[in-house]
Amino acid sequence: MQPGARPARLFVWIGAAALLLLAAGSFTPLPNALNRLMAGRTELSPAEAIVVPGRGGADADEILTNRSLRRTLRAIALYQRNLAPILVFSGDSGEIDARVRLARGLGVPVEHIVAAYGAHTTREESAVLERLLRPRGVRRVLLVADPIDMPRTRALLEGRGFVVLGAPTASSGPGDPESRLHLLREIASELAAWGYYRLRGWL
Amino acid sequence: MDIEHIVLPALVLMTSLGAVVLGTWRLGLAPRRLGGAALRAVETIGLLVAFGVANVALGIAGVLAYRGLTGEFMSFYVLNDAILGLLSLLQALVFQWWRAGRRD
Repeated sequence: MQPGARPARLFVWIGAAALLLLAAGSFTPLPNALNRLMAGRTELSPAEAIVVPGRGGADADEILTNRSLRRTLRAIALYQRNLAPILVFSGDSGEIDARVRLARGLGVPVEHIVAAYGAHTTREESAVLERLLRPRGVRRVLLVADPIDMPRTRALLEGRGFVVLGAPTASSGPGDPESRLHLLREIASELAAWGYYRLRGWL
Repeated sequence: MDIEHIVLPALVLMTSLGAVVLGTWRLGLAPRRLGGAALRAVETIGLLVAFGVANVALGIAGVLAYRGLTGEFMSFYVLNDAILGLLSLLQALVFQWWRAGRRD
């Protein structure tokens, strides 16, 4: 094959920037630092409800995804520390059902569990939570979410009048290059969602 | 620095050096053209990014159109899949080879 056309300068610059980002994302703690930054402050204080937004749902065997499971277990642990009297599970119906079963299996009474069905997006989740929790007089909530999901979810709930205490799941981040790169992609995805919400005037 | 952190870069460095030696001594490739080849690879990565951005942008428009036309929900997260990156890479490679063959 012949050498062909000369390299296009624009794509060389874009490629170089992408490779630099790839190297920084894989072999430096950059994603971990961003993860911690997005987690915000952890405030494990008494609240009126522990809110657990959806994350990834459940598979066909009704097994929660890793992240959804982490959130659920953390929330149950906080409930068992008596930090709030009710646990609120959001997400798609399969995810909520699996979470409720897990919580009940771990000794949480059914009357202390609220299943927040009917939301597809984070914005819709905040609306459903407001509709369900406002009549119960709930204002102060412990938000259990992944660090990268905290800023948008927190902002939406605060926008609906809740006082939000952050209880992110583990925020130190992964230690191997592939997982760090995956985290960086998740961060990019979440920042895009943040940008979209800002663009639509929802934040 | 933890020794585990340098295992992967060290492996790649060693096989790259091996490829240079093999290319130079066994295949008769000119070492002075190595820089140009690297530049071409970086350009391909740039094309990968361009195809990736175009795919995601088109996907966002498609999801919004689907929601608007059917009234049903489709999540943007369907676009957050590593497969799209691999397919974008394939697009970039094909485009690059197509472009390189222009003077064949």
